[in-house]
Amino acid sequence: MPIVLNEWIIHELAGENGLVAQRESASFLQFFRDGAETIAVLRGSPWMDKAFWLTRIEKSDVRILSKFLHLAILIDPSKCRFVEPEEVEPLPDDLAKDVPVDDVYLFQTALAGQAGIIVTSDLRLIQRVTSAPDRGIQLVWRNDYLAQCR
Amino acid sequence: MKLEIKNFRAIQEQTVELAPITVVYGPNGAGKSSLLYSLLTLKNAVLNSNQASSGFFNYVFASLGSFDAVVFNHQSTSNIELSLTLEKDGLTVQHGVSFSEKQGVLRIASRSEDDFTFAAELPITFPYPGNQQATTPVSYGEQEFNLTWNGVTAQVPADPQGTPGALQAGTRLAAIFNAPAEILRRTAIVPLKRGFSKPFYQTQPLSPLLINEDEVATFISQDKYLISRVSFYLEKILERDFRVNFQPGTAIFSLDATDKRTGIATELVNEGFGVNQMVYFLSKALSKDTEWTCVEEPEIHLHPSAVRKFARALGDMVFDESKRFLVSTHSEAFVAALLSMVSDGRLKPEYVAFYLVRKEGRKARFERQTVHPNGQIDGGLASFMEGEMEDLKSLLRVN
Repeated sequence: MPIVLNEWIIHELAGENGLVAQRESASFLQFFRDGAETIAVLRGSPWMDKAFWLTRIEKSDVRILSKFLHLAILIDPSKCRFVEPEEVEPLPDDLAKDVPVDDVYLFQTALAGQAGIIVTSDLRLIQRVTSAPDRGIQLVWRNDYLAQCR
Repeated sequence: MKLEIKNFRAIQEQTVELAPITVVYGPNGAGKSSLLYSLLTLKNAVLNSNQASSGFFNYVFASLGSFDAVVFNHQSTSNIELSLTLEKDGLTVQHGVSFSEKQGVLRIASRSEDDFTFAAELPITFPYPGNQQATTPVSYGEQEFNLTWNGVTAQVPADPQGTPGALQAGTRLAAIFNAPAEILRRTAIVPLKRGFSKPFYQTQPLSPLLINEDEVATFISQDKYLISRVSFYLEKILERDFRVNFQPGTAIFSLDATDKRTGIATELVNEGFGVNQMVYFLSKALSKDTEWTCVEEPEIHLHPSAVRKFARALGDMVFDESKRFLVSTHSEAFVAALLSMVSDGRLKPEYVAFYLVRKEGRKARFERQTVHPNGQIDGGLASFMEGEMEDLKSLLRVN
């Protein structure tokens, strides 16, 4: 079952959250590439915009990580399931009332991509969207997820 | 179309399906060039077998040496086996050769669905001047024919009592069995060592392989339509036009390019290597006698943005010029450009075949990576950046 990552992974790969977070995300990418998991990504979403933005950063470590994200993960259908915009539907009412506007696409991606987990760095989101499990979506804090991956 | 290879250099046994654009990539020494050279060897063995077997491995730009040097694992008791299989007019036709240093067997076979309707083989010794013949009855279109074959060319002798319909069917039948050899005849190589190194050339006699620069220069100078096609694609890829300028009253000429942004013209030798080598490539690929072009690392001396335009030009040449390409590369930009053409619908997934070549012990292994309509590719392309990942581990100190 695919997972959905929110945008923390891009910011961390870019080094915006410090070297420790960048290392953790780099290790996660390698772990992910060698494992059996798949991510679901909505084409044309803010996540994709940021993944593209990552390619524009000229720091050598970020360039390598960006290439790896694209060449090892996003381009491989066994690692990435692209959800096309026409596949997504409006959120059910119970989710729609809880999910902040900026995060709606993550839940739409999860539902259209049949993803069971959204990995987020936003603890408030986890606390706020209490109806997610009823829709088959588990919200997992980024630190907990990466800890499982080590 | 399918190329089957046994015991050739690092390739112990491999079947490679060839799409209109077939791309092989992988580390140095993995066996990419061996795939290209196997096709050239098959061409030599089938079309020019009147020589010692070592001649089959002489491609003019490189000579691989004797049979012992080329056979897998230097096992001189093994045979090298090469064959080309294709579909034509509803029949599958295979033409191949199995050979040791001194002798070999030329084989041709066809089948409709699973039933072989024709198979013949000619045991030969090298040099073989094409003077033997196999004659076999063949059923085709509810008619019986006697097909004769000398290892290279199939013929259906006309029956003086036959109807015009039977004559046409016999001609079609011969064309089907000659199709693999015709593909081989129309296969060209653009080797790593390519390009033009002189400001002026003089008309030279041409050899069949057209490898050295004087020959290629002469060849293109004699075909005004080829010059215009080369210029058309050169402008698409590198924003230069191309001309051949003869000195009046002489056989001396120059190969010139004009930068379309500045209007400045210069001889190719005074252009960058990328422009210079691209003219060599285009001259061979766009020749009316060429269908398949084997090219080694076309990205050399090209900026990534030109590599992308080059990939798009290959796609155009497949559709507009009915050209086919077998490409070895180290350029992820080239592969990514082809995948983006698939993604945006400019290229159907079945028009490209990607093979990741790796060495496993002494053997080259070709792994086909399936391309999906959205441009994704099974297995990804991380093989292009294994070295960079090592750098990253050092940079970030990650394990």
